[in-house]
Amino acid sequence: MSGAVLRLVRDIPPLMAAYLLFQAVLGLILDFSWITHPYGNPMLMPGVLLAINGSVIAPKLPVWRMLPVTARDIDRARWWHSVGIPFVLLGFLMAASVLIAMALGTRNASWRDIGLSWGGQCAVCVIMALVWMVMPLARRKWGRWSGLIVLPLLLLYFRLLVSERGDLRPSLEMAIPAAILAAILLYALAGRWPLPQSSAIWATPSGAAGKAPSRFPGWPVLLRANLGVWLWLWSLMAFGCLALKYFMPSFDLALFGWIFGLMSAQVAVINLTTGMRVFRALPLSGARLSFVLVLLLVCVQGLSLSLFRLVLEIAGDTMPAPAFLAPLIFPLLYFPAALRFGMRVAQFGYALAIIVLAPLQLMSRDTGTAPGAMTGLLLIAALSSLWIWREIAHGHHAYRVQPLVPARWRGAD
Amino acid sequence: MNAIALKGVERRLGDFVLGPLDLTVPRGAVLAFVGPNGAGKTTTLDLLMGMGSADRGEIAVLGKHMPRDQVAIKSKVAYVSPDLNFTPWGSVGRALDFVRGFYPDWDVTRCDRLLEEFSVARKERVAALSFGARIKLSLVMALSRDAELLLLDEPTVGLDVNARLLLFREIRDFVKRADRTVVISSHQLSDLEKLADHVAILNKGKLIAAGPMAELVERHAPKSLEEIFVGLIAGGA
Repeated sequence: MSGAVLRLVRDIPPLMAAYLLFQAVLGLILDFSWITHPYGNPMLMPGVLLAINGSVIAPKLPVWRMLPVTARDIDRARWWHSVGIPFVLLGFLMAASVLIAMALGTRNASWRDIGLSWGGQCAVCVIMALVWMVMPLARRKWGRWSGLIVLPLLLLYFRLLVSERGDLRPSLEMAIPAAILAAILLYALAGRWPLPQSSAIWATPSGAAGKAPSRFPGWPVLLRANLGVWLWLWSLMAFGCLALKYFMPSFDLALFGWIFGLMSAQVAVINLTTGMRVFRALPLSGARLSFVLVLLLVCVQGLSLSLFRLVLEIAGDTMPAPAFLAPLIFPLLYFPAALRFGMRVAQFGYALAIIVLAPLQLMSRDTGTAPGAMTGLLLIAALSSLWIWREIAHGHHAYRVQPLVPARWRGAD
Repeated sequence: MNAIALKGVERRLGDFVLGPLDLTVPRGAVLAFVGPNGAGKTTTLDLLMGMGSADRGEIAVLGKHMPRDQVAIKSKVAYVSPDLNFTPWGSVGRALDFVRGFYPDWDVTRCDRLLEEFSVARKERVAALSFGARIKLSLVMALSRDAELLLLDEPTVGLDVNARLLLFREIRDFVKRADRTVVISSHQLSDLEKLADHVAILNKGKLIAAGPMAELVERHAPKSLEEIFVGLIAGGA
């Protein structure tokens, strides 16, 4: 690795490093659990967790391109971020898990399965690296419709990661050598990689309409502008849930599936946070603006959960009515976090909000603990609404939030 | 009556302290609000728009109290900033339609004329607009209404020569109407010298000079506003 590549590879901010460490710890737990209880197919999930690093470096590329480094240096650094480092780290995590399991005398997985797991995790990283490349190419060819590529990818991920249908081992024995070959090929092609796609495109409303003045100006325009994105996310949620149920019939959608219902909240929060300065310049009091935005978030989330309820019906699962409260109020906690701490921290806030609400969501499924859980959730909703009002009416951070839109590539998006 | 009256306004943001500020802007004035980067210009304009609240002091805009009468104030104030982000609305047309819904005095004909003159099309995607075009969109929104006060935060940044001249023409037309006031924060001092009749210079959160432009220039003649500014900031004037 040359000095220039090494400097680029080491360009990981502390927050991202902490996030990677968190993912690595999670990966270690998953590996160890699987080695001690090797149920079903090999454990590939840690590969997904670490492969995400390949996409988060995308916003850095506009800056990297200004540096006195070659395109090959940049692509090699991208390779190390998305393939090389995950390969090494996954190997380390697997080795550590095996050593711990052996020390405790709980290694029940065969050496062949352990090898297939590690190789499969590495193959997942290569697949994800290829996906980050295919997306911008597809985007250029098919425009916004290129988003449909997510559907076959989702099927592939489910087949690889969670499928209870059939033995994955024969497929992995073929996929691992192919992935190693692809990794070598990617390294050799450094300097010719397509530029990455900005992460915000899928969350940005289409600008195709709006040529003629709207007959219903004001808030309906915002809803209409974002409807396309929400419809797409709701379709993806329905597709994802049903596909997951197909590949994993024993999976209880009602238990964790509600997290799918939070996808539209992510877009709603990002877009509202981005437009805060525009909203605040309107002739609305802080309290009224807060009320409208809270109402908007709850309505969008309510629609999303209604659809999720329908999906549950189709999948044959049921979720008690009180259990819908936690996902319903989720954006109320996530939104003020985004206003106060900005978009990047908000990505962590997203997970944090789930962690805070998940125990109460689980409690609300039981008739005995449901009243207490619902009281707690309503209290969180009230406090979050107050927090939103506080950030809008008295805070200043909400108006300094940098949008999650990396520098645009001319002609690339 | 004053368009803006700040009395002992103070705002602390981490290590930075704005104020205490005492500033009055008479109705009908065009105020050049200048200062080096990080002086507190945007923070002051934010306070005038209710984006954050002052820790101490009184803010009156168009004779009304901010934040108590913020709705009435914002109905009569138009605000432009490079930090305004319209991407959640997707297209120029939708962003305009959204904002239009809040102002009964919105002039559709004037809006269309400004769009044409600034060469911004309703069908354009906000995400694809250049930086200058985004400023133009903010300007179109601000000038399409019958506002009484224009707060322009760095309105010329990223604008091409034609758009800048067009903006100055619009500002001159705007102040021809009775009691219309403009506050422009900008680093283009040569432009401001021609356009503004009042000036306020801010440095490190403190107001170091404020008053009619003619008086300031006369006091430091034959220096230009730019030279006066540099001198004041350096502490040598």
